[in-house]
Amino acid sequence: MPEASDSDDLELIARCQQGETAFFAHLVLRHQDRIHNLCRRMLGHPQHAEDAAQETFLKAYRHLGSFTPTAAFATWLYRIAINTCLDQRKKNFWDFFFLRSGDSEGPSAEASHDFSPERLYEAQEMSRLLELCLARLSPRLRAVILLREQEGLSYLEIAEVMACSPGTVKSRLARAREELRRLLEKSTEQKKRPVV
Amino acid sequence: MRCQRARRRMSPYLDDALPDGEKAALAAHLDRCPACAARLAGLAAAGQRLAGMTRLAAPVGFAGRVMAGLTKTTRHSPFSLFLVRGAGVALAMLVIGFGILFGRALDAGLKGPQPAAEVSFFSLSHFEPAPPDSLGGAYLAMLETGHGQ
Repeated sequence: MPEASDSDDLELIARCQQGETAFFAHLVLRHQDRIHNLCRRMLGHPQHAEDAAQETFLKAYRHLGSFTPTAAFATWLYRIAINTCLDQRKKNFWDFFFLRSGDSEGPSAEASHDFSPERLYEAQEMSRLLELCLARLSPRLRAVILLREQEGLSYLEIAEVMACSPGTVKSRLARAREELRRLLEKSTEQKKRPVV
Repeated sequence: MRCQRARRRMSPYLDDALPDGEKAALAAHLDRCPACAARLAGLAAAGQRLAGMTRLAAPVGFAGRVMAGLTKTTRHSPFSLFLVRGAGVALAMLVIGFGILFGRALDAGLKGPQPAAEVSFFSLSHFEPAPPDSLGGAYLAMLETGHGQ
């Protein structure tokens, strides 16, 4: 799963636990992209995602003493990130009513530059559609499908992150895939339907 | 294999998490059933789209902001967490204890001897059910003298 090797992580964690705080910056740099991406996909809003990702690392630092190397550091971080996002969603409940629609613009703005305008438009549309469909999934189903399809975690790793059994992961993943398929097909059908 | 059973196996099939026997049975069913084959294609496409979504890197200066945040926070040892929680519980107990004591004092105050003026002020004996110059009073007076019959 993680590109950053676990032994390097353990070495950095040991240095941090000895009080050498500066080494925590290396840990952040190694894992920031995956944690930020997960938070962004979970929450949709760029600022909320950055806040959640920062909170994840701060919590990790505060509880570094309780980290046991039985699990990979990345898995442990994913777990903190998912819990932070679930808490953040409760906190941001009222934003739903007050946010301007443009505030939660998806990744479209950051899409690759080497696309022709048509391809870029298509990719942006698909990306936006995917984001909208993802947002319609329940947070737990969203977390499971993101951990599997985007982060490439195994059933066992997801079970560890979500604190549930691999059987639950299997059934949630099946539900998430089915729901996403249904939503995507429904939205593409609606798009194809001619306006009368 | 029936369609319902085939559909339950589609997600683990995509993850290559089905035993060989079940995988072969599902593949055979998909060859015969275009509806299930289309459904599996839809599931696979949804997963592929998600996997192909742009990965959003952390914003510039993110690590710096995290490290700046660390200076504001301190690592909590399990003992300090225990102390904080203990202080919270002690405060709650204090408030409850104060509430009980205050309640008892209030209760004792209400049950104890009360000043006579206060008692008479609140007493209903001030009020006559039928004052003498009212219609009710006249009626009662008639009853007393026996004119009512």
